[in-house]
Amino acid sequence: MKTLKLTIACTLLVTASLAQSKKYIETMEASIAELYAAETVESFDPVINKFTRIGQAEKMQWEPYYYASLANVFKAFRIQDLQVKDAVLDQALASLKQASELSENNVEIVLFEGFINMIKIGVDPATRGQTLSPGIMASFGKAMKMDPDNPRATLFMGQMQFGTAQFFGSDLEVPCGLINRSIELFDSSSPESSIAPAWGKSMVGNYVESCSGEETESKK
Amino acid sequence: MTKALFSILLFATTIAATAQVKGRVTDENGESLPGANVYIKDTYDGATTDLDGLFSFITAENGEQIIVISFIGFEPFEQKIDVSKPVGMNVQLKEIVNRLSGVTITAGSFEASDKKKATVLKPLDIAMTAGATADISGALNKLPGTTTNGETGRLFVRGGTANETQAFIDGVLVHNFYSASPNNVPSRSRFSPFLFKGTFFSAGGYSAEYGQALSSVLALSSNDIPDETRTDLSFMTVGTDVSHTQKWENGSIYGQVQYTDLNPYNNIIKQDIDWEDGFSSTNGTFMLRQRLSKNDMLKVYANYDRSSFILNRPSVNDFNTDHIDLVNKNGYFNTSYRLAIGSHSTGFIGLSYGATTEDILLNEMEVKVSQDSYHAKTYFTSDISNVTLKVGGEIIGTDEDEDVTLADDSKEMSDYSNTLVAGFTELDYYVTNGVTLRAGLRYSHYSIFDENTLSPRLSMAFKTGEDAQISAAYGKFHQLPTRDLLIRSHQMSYERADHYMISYQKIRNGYTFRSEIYHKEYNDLVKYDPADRFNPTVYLNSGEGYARGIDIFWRDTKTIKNVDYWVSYSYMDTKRDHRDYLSLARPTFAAGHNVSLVYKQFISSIKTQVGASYSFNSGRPYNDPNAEKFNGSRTKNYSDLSFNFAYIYKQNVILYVSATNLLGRNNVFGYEFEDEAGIDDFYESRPITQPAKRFLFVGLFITLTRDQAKNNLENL
Repeated sequence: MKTLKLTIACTLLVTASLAQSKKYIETMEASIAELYAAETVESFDPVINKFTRIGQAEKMQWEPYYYASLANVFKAFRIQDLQVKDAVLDQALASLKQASELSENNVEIVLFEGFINMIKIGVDPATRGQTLSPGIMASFGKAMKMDPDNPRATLFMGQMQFGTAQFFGSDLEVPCGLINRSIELFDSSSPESSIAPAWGKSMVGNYVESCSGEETESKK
Repeated sequence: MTKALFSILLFATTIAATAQVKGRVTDENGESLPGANVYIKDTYDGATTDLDGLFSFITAENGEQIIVISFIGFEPFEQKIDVSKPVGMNVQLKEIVNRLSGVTITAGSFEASDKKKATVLKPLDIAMTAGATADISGALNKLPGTTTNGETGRLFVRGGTANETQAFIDGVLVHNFYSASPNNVPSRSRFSPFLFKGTFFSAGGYSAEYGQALSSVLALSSNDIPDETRTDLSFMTVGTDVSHTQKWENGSIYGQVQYTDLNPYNNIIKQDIDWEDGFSSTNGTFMLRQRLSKNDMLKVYANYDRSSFILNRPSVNDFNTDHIDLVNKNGYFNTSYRLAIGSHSTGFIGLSYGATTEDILLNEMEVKVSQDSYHAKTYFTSDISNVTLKVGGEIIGTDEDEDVTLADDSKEMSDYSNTLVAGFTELDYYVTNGVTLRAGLRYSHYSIFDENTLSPRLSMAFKTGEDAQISAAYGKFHQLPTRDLLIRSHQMSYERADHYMISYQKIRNGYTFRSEIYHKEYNDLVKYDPADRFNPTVYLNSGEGYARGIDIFWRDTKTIKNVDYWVSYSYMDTKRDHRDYLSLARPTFAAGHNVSLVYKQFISSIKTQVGASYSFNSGRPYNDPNAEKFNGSRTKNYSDLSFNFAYIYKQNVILYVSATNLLGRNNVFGYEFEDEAGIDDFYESRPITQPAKRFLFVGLFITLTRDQAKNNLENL
């Protein structure tokens, strides 16, 4: 009888958690779709709030805070005023910190911290370029070590190196190699789940052209 | 257990009843708050307020629930509601008022930091200012409130002497901030600006945490754990240095060896001084950073330096030359431990120890000076809602001996020792996010005089707009008389200054404007009769003085792309009667008008940052014994145009060149006069000038990292 009770309890527990996770996954899927559909600065606020609500209800999941952070970054992209933009990026870092407390040594969180700081350089390039760059490189380097096949880590590392190589007029082979590899990775790798981070391919953008030019030049 | 589980499951899955929750969220003035997050705690159910602060959502929950409303900058709101039936509610959120959201008091101070918003300077400004040659005090001399005294290289702030500025590293006293140098040859600060992530420079009205400074405080915060392991090599016209940083997960160590020798340079660039052996120094630095837990930081800094020079200089008194041979040995140790206790409190313990010996041979006379001092300090701060309280105490001990051996082998020995015990407390009250009040009190006991002082400090800031504030400060400041006075007499007492100031500041998207009016009163300054200066009883605290003026600062990083410039202007009216002065007079170190212009531009096509600076001081007073009025004569105006550039050859290789006084102006800082008048009753004089018209510095900096991909600009 006791064993039966326990079995029932265990079955119920599993079912309960699965049921829960279905609701979680579905709500997350819908919210992620809303995030990618958002256009204006204001339209991000309901999405950020929604992720925050899911986060406070689901005590063990890191994704809601990760996406709240991502939504803040997308919002910051659309803000012109540098002081306001910087404050929103700080919010993004704060949400990401909540995510990292739930999931330590998570490659997506590590690389995204580097990404946010990369955007923060743009607020004050003259002073932040020098102080933040080493930390950003360290974040991307750590992420690539954790998961060499992560397309975002590969792309952002490539972008950072591309910028420096372009500035110093040095060979673009290494950064372009990374960027091209990230395109392959974006195409080949499938996210672990429907709510795992899958963004970033659109950021390959202009680099494809610069890098293909680089390739033809080196072939000549 | 199973029963409970069943009921939870039943509760969660069987109830399909829904209720609407709606309402409006406003601030305390009834203004709607769009974008607030309203939800039932521990559920997904909720909504975001619209432009009118209105929200509405449907919940499938039942019975008693907790509704939460959160919005950035406001206290979160929580209330129990019954969602069995529709709910309507209007909620006023309370604005968060605390240390982080409140307005920072800026009266008197300039801060260079990456961490805080709205700072006037950035850490790199200190290192990259043309004319400063990466010297901290050189860069601060381009800010309002300072007067460049080219013959000393030290900081003179608002009518105060160089000794009235006290330097701190990580909250602990620096015992010998400047390197050794001969009379009338500028010295440099002993600390590289690249070791610090933040510089706080206050020209008055500073916190009760800081004592023993009548005019100014320079508080430096050293770098935290670096991002990478690296080795740096520098080859400079004045010497070379090698440093290595080893980083691990929660800590790092840093070691540096530096050798400086100005002899090769002096042989190429003509000097007005006859250097028998130019300035040379051997210097070693060690640093440790370690986190012992997630919420703390231990920092250790140790440095040893030996420097020496020999020179001959014509005496103004006779036809002979003075032969000067100096060896200075300086050790400095600084350690601090900071621990966050919970999320609202911080504890701090710091300790520093400085030991210096200086052997000077002046012709036949030998002077040996040795000084030992320590500083132990602790404080605790706590944020309690909209109040921040700081309570602390410190002990500063100083021992100094001076042994003079004259040509006839007779000896004169003097010494002093003092232990200063002080306690301080300070309360910051954030009345609203637009008004901050600060009240502090400092108590000190001086063992050498067996006397006590109480130094009250008051300041406030008032926000006048989004990015603008008016702030004001008042304070009483006490300081032990300087070492050269204490070595002669122990019968004096402390010196005193009172500061009053009001300032306006606006910082908006690349523009900074600041202006400040101040008044400073000096009392109890030490005076003595120069004819009888070996008699301890002639030293009396009977002097006085004042300084008042206006400081203006404008910085623009926006108007021209890649160009950053600032202009600073100070007008100062000051007089004092101290030391051997005959009457109340404008002191020799104070100029009436001070102007600085600093310009920086990054030219990406040639990968070079260029910089220029221009400084101007109106003439400084000097005393001409042939004239009737004491300190009544004025030197000609001082001006200097300096230039520097940093060329980034590769990510890890940088060439840095700087040159001062491009126009080759022969600046005169004052005059030396004969001790006794000649037979024609006339005192002959000699101008005090620059040791060489220009100072040229060329350095090559190479950084080696494991992946060879790091920029070296921050190491300039």
